[in-house]
Amino acid sequence: MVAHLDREGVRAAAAAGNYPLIAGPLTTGVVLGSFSQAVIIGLDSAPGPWALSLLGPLAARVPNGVLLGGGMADPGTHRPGDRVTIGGGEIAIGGRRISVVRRWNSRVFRVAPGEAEVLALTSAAAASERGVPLSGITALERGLLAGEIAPPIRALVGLGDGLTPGGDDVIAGLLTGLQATGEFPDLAAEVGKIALDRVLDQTTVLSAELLRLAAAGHACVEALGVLRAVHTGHQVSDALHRLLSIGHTSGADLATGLGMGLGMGLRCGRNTSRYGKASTTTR
Amino acid sequence: MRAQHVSVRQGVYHDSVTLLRLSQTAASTPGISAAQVAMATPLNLELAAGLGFSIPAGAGPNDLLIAIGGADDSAVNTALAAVATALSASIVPTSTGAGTTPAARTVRAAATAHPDAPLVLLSLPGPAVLGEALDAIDAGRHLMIFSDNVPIADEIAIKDAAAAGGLLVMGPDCGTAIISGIGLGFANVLRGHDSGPRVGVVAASGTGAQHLTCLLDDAGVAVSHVLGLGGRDLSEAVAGRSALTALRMLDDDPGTDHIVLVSKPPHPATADAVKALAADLSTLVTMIMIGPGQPDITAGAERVLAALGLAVPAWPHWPASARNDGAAGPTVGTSPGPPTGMLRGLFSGGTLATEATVVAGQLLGRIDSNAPLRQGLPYLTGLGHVIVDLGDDAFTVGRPHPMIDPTLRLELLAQQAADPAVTVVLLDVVLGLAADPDPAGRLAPAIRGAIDAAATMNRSLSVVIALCGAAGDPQDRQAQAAALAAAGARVFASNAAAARAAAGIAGGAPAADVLTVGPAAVDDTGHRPARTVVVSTNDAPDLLSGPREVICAGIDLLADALRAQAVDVIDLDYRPANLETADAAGVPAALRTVLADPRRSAANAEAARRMLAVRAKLVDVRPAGEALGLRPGEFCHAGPPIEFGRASGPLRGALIGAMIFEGLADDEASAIARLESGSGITLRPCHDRRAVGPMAGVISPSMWLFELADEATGARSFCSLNEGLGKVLRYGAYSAEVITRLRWMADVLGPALAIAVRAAGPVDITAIIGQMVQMGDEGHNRNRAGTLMFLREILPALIASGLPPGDVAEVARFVAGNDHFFLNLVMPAGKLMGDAAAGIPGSTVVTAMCRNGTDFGIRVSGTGDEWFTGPALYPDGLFLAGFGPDDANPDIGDSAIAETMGIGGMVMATAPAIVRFVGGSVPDALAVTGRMYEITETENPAFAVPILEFRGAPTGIDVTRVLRTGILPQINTGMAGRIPGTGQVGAGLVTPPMDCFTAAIQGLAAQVPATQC
Repeated sequence: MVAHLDREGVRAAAAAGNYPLIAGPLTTGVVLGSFSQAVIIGLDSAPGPWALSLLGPLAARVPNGVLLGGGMADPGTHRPGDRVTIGGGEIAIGGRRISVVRRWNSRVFRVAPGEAEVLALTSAAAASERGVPLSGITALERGLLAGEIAPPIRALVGLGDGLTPGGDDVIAGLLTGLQATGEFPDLAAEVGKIALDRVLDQTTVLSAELLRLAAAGHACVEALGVLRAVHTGHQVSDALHRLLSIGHTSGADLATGLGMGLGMGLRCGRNTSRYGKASTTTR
Repeated sequence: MRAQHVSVRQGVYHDSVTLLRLSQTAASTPGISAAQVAMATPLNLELAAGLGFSIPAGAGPNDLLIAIGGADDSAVNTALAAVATALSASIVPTSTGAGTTPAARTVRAAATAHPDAPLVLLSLPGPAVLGEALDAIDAGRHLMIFSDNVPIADEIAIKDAAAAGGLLVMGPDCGTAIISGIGLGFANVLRGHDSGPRVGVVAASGTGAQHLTCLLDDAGVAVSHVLGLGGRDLSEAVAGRSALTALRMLDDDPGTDHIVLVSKPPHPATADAVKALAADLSTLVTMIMIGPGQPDITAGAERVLAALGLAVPAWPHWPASARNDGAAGPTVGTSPGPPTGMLRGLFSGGTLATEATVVAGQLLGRIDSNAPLRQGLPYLTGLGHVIVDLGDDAFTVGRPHPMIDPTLRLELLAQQAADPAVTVVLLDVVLGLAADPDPAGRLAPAIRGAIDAAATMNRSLSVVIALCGAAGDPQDRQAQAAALAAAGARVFASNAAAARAAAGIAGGAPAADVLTVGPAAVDDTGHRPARTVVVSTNDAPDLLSGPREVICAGIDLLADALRAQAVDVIDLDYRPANLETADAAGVPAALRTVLADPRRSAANAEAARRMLAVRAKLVDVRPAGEALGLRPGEFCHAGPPIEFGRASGPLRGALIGAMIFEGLADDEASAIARLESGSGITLRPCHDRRAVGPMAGVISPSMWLFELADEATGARSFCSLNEGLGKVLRYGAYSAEVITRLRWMADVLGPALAIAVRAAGPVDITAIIGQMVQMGDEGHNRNRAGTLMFLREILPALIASGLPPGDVAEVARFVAGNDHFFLNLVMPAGKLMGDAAAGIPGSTVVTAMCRNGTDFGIRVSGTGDEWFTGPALYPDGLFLAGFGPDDANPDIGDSAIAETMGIGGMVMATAPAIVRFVGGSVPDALAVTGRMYEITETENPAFAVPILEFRGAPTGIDVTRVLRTGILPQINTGMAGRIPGTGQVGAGLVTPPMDCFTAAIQGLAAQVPATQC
């Protein structure tokens, strides 16, 4: 009865940050890695986007993600080196056709968090195992206050292990936090510019793509959930728990950067959004 | 029709969309002239009768009606076979064998299994909504109720319960919502523009919300969420309960920059309350009210754009193909028809119908709506200008919504073509998720046909369409519009523009393709300075981030639409209870009254808490004369009260034996004579004296009893000593060996146990039950581990008692040799638990289940000592050698207190060793216990079932859950011989009769204070 059901293949939802790529003209890529909850695809595009992630239901909803309805197929189905075609609302991978039928919001919105909520966020991040040494985080904090951000950011890009090195996660979180305050468009743009400078030489393709999207104003659903919670004061601990559960240390690293960015906003007082919405914390 | 088949299948439930498919399957069989496969609602029965079918008496709305008529028997049989095949394909398997959990039957079970699903989507028959909705709220989930025909009292009860938890209830009768890009019900696929403001919509009108969001989408505005309210939320009675929550949620949402409230005109008092709240919000709110004297939705959308500082685009329209446009002149014939005539609007969207009535009414004057019904169809011929909403409740009882099934509308379109008074037909076509995948596919030829039919009568008929859809909809809006225009219709994206065009044709005015919309006067709550809104602590789950999974109950179509959007769906295996009893008429109303009782949830939680808090200890063993104060001639028996004249064979046999044992009669004949005369004889239920007895349960003054106590409360309970199996008094035997054994029990066993128990100190019976349940005993038909653990507790004290070694040996041999000895200690522990939960006003938890061999009786916490009875059923199981079903008596004994306390049949899964003894398999045992969780209030961690990952025993049978699901408590039992004196004939499984629960719900309903109804 529903038109969608007549289509063949797997149905999927894409992050808004990814949507232009998927809806756009055909482009190609290759499977870089295949895991139980994610397949990472590298794209043959010099200016970016550089990577797309197919996600299972338990994966973090990253802003370059495509969530597969009905769960992931056996990860063994897709092997590194498999060719992928993307475009026209579809992804073709190893004989499977994935139709993107919906998109979720990955765009960062403005918030005016309460001090207590930001404190809860920064404390939770500090109490968790992080993927970067404390010295790197302290240096970034000092740099933000002193207005000398290039050295600490360059020191963080690509710092740490894994598919998304911890330093990159901290910067992505910082970008999201700064954007959410709505107060520092120039600072956010500068952070993004420094981080993306020769980024493909500094870190993994996946991490570079997530940094690119963060600079463009996109974040994972879990980080947006924390923004929503610190704005309303509702369900803060649940939202923090979901963010901190991402990866081994990725969630804590994102939370660290996010707390830093939102903290900058607190120092500057309250704001009003462009469309007249008064931004006060309600609780 | 020459041949017909009419049958009624009782208690078979399918949703109306599935049934529509079945009807179509049957109707498409060659030689079939009429087919109706539908739930046997009064309307459907009437329709079937109207089609010429003879309807059997007694069919009710929970039954499936299959009516097929055709040219001959062979065609009818072919169609029947096709229906049977399709029916069996649509049945969901309910048990998937060992190791897997059957699909949840109630929302609570689904919510327990899926703690992270923040939303429950209900599309069940209206009267069935209340129980599932309250389950969702108790589990802390937001709700969308798609169902219509939900009683307004139920809606208020649901919304009040939700408000306490900060939960949103969308509906009832909420057809449209969008949460973070996920469409629920009828929703359009919006583009979600990547820049610019994001508008959140609160809608008391489904199609109004769809129309508004499609216009905003065309204007390049992103929609953050659409929160539906249902059509009645802004009425005086419901008073905007959901609107207030929805507005606060969107105000709290940092991803929403502007709020629009769209609805039909609310009740003035409700409007004031909503406006007052809107004025307090920090987000600007635009209100669009559809009705007389109000701007239309298109004007409202333009006002929103103005408030956001955005330009108003030219709204899309598709002119009719000139050759085909009726208004442009007749395609055949010689002279044009009358220049003016009647307008007929055939709408599927209620708000669009209302809006069209208002807009066209401004040009045409009086327009009638909704038309009178004749045999289930609106009857329009002879009327003036009419706009009818075919989605109205009156047209959808037992029939799919016209957005899904166009049949009714197509019939009416043809009717208008034949009506010489009609000049223009105005239709809405709604695209999007869950809607018809190709509405133009059937509508365009019908439009073409209608225009041509009118032309052959020398008339000019125009068709105007309001196409409510977004560019991203799966139906392809452009292609749909093109097909409709090619068939001769003028197509407008704006419903108001379409209505004006149609009114223009009807009024004879020149029909402009695009009408300019006048200045709007939409009510905005002005720009407010920032202010702090105080909101109480909110534990509601985060809905607006977009649910990863949704619990769905009802129409498959809605679940499929979610799956099509890559959302995980948890399907409920919803099946309504079959409440076929003599007094069933009052049962559904009583059930709803009790469900809506605001005391119920807390009262049941308290009953459960008290049951689980009981720590039963064996403190003494004493004669009944002393323990219960029984005097000669006073007897206790199992089950609810009964006089000797109605007593069953086993109870009569046991009483005869007790008379002889007490020396009140010398033989059977004199015992019967004395019992029948009643002289000096008193019969009372054990339960009335804080006691319980297995099978016949007869207790006389000289019998010794276990005495159990709950230290925390000081409560006491009593039970007789178990005699063993075979020819024993409790099974109704009274031969010399039975009496001899009873004398030994009174002379030796009782006093010996008393010495041992007093010396060994209180024996913790609750602890032993907890262990036995983990050792393969279910505590009713298998008590072997419990018996041996009990013997281990008392044996040292028994040996050290100083009693003659022969007596000690005989007592030890007797206890160890009787695998059921511990049953009589389980039962008084259950009695303590049941009594602890008794007498809590508003609680629907069962505190006693018992039977006297004639009647089954239950007691319920909220109704205290009152018995609710029904006829005891015959157990189903295996028979001892030499006996068969004809030898068995109906179910008997107080031992169902084991199930009342959460063990016995309730934990069948823990006792694989006996499932074959009672005629079942291991997967059956797992499935039984799985089902019992659906009807119980709590789980008892003290009685944990290892094979279920140590899940606690399902405890506290809830009358409302039994009636909602039709699942009866599973009781394991022994079977007594029907003839007095026979003894045991077998063992098996049984349930209480449903009558106990239907009687109980009416008793409970009578206790609900009137102000709380």
